[in-house]
Amino acid sequence: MFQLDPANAFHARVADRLTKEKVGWLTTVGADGTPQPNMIWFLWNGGDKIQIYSLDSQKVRNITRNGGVSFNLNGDDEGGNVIVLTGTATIDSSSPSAAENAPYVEKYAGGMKNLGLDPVGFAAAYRNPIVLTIARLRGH
Amino acid sequence: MGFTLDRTSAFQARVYDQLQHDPIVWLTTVGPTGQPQPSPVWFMWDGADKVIMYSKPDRPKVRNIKANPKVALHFDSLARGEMIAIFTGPVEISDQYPPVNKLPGYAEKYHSLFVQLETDADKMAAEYTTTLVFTIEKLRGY
Repeated sequence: MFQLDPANAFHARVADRLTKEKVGWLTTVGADGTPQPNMIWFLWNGGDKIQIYSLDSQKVRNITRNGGVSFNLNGDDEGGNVIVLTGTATIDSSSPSAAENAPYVEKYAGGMKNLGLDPVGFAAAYRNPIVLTIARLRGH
Repeated sequence: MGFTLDRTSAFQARVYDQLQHDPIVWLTTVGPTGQPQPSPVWFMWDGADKVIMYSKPDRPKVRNIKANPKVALHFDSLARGEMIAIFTGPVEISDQYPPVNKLPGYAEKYHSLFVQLETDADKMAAEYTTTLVFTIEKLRGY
């Protein structure tokens, strides 16, 4: 199982950014083999799982067909601070809804407000729970 | 007629600036098992529908492209997810462009990064011998 090593400086930075940052890039692969990156909100569980709620049924179709996905955070203007996670995504109907996921609601309360939604309204729209199981980390 | 940007659109005018000036774009290829693999790369835009990138020949992205030329490019967003620009289309390994040290504009665009990395376009050209030419087919974002 994937686990970050807090004694490793790179891993410690990854843990910090996965905890603090609000947006990341989830890339799924379309039926024709084209990778499709999308900006998403995410909640890392501190271990090998990232919880995502999707509005978009295209991502769900792609993941149902091919669970191979990547997740990257923004880098910097010099090609540095690269964090790429790869692994397998599933549509996880056992996940709590976004509204029932307290740490998610806490992380994105401001973002939901900006969308003009309360957690229940958000959960009704972003109703597809995706769980990414991290298999590998690369970057520097 | 290939892809063109409509600079009367605020979104596309911004993308035009990003294509001209941003130093880094993420290139995502798909591996043999269907696993997407994003990597940050340096690039030059031709002002129309082509984005030119250089790679070391033995990189996984080059192997992936040989098997599946469908790729995506995306720029970093801002911290809260503003300024999204995602391109999809085919990439080809091409011998129709000059090496990186002879490509007009490249050494100038990356001058400060070359200085910082204590290298230059000539040294890069010796290693980054594979030319990747991406054709923009679709743009999405906001």
